[in-house]
Amino acid sequence: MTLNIVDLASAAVSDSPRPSGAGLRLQAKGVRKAYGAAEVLKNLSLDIRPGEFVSVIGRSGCGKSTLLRLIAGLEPPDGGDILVSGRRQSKPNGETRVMFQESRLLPWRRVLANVGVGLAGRWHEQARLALRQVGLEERASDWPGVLSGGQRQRVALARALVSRPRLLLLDEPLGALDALTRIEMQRLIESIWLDQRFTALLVTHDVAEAVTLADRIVMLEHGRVAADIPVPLPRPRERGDAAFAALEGEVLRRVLGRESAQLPLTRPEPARLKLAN
Amino acid sequence: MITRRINAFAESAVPWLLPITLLTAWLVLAKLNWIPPQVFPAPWDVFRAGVQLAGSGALLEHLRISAARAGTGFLIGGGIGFLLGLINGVSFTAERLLDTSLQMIRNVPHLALIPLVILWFGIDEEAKVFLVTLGVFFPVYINTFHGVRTVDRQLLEMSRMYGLSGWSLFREVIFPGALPSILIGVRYALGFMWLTLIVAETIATTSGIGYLAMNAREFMQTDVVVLAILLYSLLGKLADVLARLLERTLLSWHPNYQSQ
Repeated sequence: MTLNIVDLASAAVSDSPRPSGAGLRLQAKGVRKAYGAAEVLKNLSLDIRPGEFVSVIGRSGCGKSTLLRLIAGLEPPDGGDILVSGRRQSKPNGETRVMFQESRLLPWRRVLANVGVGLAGRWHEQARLALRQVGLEERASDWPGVLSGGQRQRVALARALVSRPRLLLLDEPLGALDALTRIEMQRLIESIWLDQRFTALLVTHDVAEAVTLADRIVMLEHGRVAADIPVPLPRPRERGDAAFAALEGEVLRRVLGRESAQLPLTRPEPARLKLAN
Repeated sequence: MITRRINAFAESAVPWLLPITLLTAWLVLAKLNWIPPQVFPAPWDVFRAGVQLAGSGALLEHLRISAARAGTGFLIGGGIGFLLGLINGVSFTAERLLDTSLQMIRNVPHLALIPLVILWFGIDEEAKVFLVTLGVFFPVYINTFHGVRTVDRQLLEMSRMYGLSGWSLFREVIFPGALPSILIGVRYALGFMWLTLIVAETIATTSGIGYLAMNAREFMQTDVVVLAILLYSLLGKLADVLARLLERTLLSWHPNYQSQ
């Protein structure tokens, strides 16, 4: 089943005319954001190459989702600049697409219409193609309400991809899925990204997911970049692989290490292990 | 196969069990002469009165006039309620400006305005239509407002991200999102519509079902009075069926309406 979907996806995208290197460069320069007295982002800077796949990890409340919202143009930063291919982001635009943790499908529109939301003109064929990419073409005329959680996220992915974005922002899109579906989705996202080469920014708290997908892992802590870890593993990556496990362990240690330094020493060990999900 | 058919029949018969039992009891009691006809007429008297009035064409004419008043009032009141609910739901400025006043008016029972309405409009059609309009307005207004305000924020954010705004945002997200609530308002409004009309038609009219009942009372025709009451209950049921049908077609995407 898993292999099937990935095969389908690569079969569908292989005849698409996407030029490589279509991603946009993304820069954050000294970005600050506060909600009331709570400073969520403090002087955060980031530079992402066109076509790069970057994972932002960190504990809840570290500001990773806020960063993504600022990049999407859903909220303005309080200070600093966010530049997408050199231009300041002030409001949502067609080249950037977001996939949220919830699928956010319109329950009163059929699957196909959900994929084509916001598109003008003759979008049916495009939407059908995007659905084929995620392996759900036969569900085009269903209501979103009858789909499973994983299928809904695949529709949401198709909706994000249909307009051929050059920057894809993923806000823990697989967080609510079961482990098997999550792995399936990771392969799907990777295969589509490999083909289309948009710039991808994945916010997650799952270290294994970050190591599976990212070229580079950016660790956020208290509103700042705490570590920038390259992931030099060849794709596709296998979880059982020794190099994979070593890197995953290292990233985990960094996340935990910094946290444990701030925890009181009397704190029991198992409570900390949970942090890594 | 046969048992399933019997089951299906039983299923559809259940809602009528109580009305049929009551009707039978009425028949039996009248037959045994346990209820004096001047207090409550026998079913066959009501039936005869119905046949007579229908035969002369009077019944249909009264029905037509009542339905026209109800429909006109519903369209005007529902229309204004829908529009104002929409405007106040979308715009916080409009809400600040209008909502307090509307809530104050809402708490005045609209039937208490009858003396004033008679002074304003006399006893013509306008008075009745105005009262129905007022009765229908508030349930539609309140539920439309509430529906628009409770449209899923996450969906609105997604829509903004995907380039929807203005009319397309309204058509794709706000209106369908508010629709379940709006239809609840329509249902309440249909109830208020009949209620208001019954009262309005008992004051100084020469036509309509309400007039039929009032007129019959003066001549002690209990059979016609009961006929009018039965007609109201049938019309109420009809309005309810209509509302259900509307819900089932417009909300077919909704998991709660997908059965059957």
